[in-house]
Amino acid sequence: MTLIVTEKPDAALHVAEALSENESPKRIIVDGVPFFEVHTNGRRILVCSALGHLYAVAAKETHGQSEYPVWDFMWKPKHLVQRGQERQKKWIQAIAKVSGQADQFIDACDFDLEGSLIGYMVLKYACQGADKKAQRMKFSTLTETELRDAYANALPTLNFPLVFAGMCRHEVDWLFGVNLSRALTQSALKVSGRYTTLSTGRVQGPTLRFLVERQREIETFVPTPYWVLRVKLEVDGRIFAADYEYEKLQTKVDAQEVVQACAGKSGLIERLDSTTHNLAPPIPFDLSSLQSEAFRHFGLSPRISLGIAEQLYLDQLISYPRTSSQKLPLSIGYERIVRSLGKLDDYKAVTVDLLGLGRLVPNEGKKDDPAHPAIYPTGTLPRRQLNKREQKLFDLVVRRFLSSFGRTAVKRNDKVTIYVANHCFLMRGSRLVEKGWTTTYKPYAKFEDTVLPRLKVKQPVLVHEIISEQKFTQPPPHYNSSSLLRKMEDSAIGTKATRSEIIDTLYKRRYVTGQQISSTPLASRIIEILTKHCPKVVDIRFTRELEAKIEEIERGCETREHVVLQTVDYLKPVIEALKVQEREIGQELAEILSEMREESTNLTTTCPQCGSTLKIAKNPRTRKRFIGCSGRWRNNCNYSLPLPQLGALRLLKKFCPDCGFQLIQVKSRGRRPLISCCRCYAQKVIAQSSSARVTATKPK
Amino acid sequence: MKNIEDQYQRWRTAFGEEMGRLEYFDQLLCLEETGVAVKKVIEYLRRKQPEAI
Repeated sequence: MTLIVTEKPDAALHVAEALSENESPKRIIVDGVPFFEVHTNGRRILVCSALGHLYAVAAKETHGQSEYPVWDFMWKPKHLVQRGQERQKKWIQAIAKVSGQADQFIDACDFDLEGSLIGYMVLKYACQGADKKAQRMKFSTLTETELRDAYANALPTLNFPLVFAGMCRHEVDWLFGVNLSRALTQSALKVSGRYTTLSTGRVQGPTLRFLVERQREIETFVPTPYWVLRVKLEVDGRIFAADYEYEKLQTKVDAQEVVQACAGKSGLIERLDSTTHNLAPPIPFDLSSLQSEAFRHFGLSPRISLGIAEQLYLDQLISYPRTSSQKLPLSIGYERIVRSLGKLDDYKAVTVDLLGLGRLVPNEGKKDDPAHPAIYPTGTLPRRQLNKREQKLFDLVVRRFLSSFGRTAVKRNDKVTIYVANHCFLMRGSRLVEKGWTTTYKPYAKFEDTVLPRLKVKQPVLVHEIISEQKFTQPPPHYNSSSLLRKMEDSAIGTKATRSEIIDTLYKRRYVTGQQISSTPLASRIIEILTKHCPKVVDIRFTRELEAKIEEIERGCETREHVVLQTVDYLKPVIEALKVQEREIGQELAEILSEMREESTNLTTTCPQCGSTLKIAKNPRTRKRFIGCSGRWRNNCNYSLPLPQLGALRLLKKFCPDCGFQLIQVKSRGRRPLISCCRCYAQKVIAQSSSARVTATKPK
Repeated sequence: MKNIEDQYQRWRTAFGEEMGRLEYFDQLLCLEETGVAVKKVIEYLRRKQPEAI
């Protein structure tokens, strides 16, 4: 019997369906875990799945969660390391039971760092050392043809360099994360007596530093004045706008001089220039560019767009999304995919046009990934109704893929040079003269044509109006998920698979807020502490060096043990130094945590009865939350207001337009955030209940 | 503070030498583009060390 291990249950079903010869795969349940049985060439095959990672790095000896430093680690089943992983326990036991009957093992997890590691761990631990004899299926889509081909041409062994690189990444990240996070959390706990999870890590630290530095730049920004000249010119009785040759004038005097020299004067058109340039078709998506584009057009966070892309992959609609390649190999069958997509009404016209071009050649990017090609639609048509988000992302992938084969677009730029009183003004226009690929990528490629009037050289013009406008330089923009992702990628920190998770963690830890990401005072304090005590931890160069070493392991030029030992050697003195200064660090953190806690519970509106601070409190008996007056004991004030009991509560910096009370926001999963005024709500409820009482007591 | 001082010289060049420090600080406080930390420093100086302005 052959046992095939996949990464997720959906993938197991697709593998089984692809390998079954005649009948559909038989679903067998072993101790509550599904397996799929098929027969190929007279051989019985059982396809099982993992549930993502079933094993995780953990401390060798079980200390308390608070102890640090921890240097000895080992791989353990996830249910022994993390809470709420009972399902994983059942999975490992079922795979172990079935593996006894198998004489051949095949790893069919995703062909990347994480996938290789998941498969290796299951084969090594759950299948009792089957990693040594296991074969490896390599595929990029879950389509039948590719899966059959991958099974028939399975690699004779696992890709061990990839496995060891994956192990090394997890181990190094664990060493960093556990020790540094515990150092911060315990320091704060020992001083404040309150537990707050504070984390940092090898990639999280430098990423947070980007955000804190940008926040600092914005907060300390001093604008500089400059002047812009706008001129309206009259040509043949018609008015056209033009700009001064210099975009910005640094002094008011300079701007006034030009205005005085040109106001009401006439001039001549000196030159008419036109240039055309080609706009090459867009290159196929790698994961980062897909996430960026999904954020730009649909506002989807990188984590959400990755989740949707993975679902589309499991539905066989697109290829494996965790790729850094921008190349489309010929072997994927361009024409077959284009023809198949043409069966969908939305792409019918585009595909006909493309197939009419003759040979299909994609415009590829520079980046390559040995494991997977760029993200492309498989040509399989949706078998179920996609939800709105899935539909949008699928459309984006399809249009990007199709437009990469499109004709080059041609853009014409026109420039008119006008001289008035020895000052030069310019009129600029541009338009697409050949639309090419832009018609395919239309919803996502926006070009606005600015058409200039028909003018002649030496034609006279009259200055109708000239205005000098005073402006100020702008602070740099806040990062958003998309630009932060790009920054991480440009700085070569993190991996395509983990970057979005890291951004998410920053939100969870209350280090950052908002879509236009602002770092909180807690984040600034953490970065200050880390920069002071262990600058390398937040230095991108150090993280980048480690990434390079992990890549060397992947290529077989470096060993995992060596990199882990180097990490321990570096971290040991850092953590020891943090431990010595625990009290001082704790003091700094406790202060800021207490400020943040007060900010999130204390209202800025004071009590209307006694003027004390109003606070969000919890009834110790009923555990219900409410707004209470802090002057309860001092002034015997019993003022209170009800609060919604469900959802995450946040005090807004906005006030009720009717009564001036501070507004609150309640966010519940799957619902729109509710913004409400507690005082108005309470008054409304009282008014309603008293009118109900009056109705109830009225004699019939 | 050094940044605010450096920028003052640029403002004087831009608007002309007659621009006073008081006017400069007033304008900075009114501008949306000015950073929160800069505004805090100016407000602090106004309250605690008006002679510095």
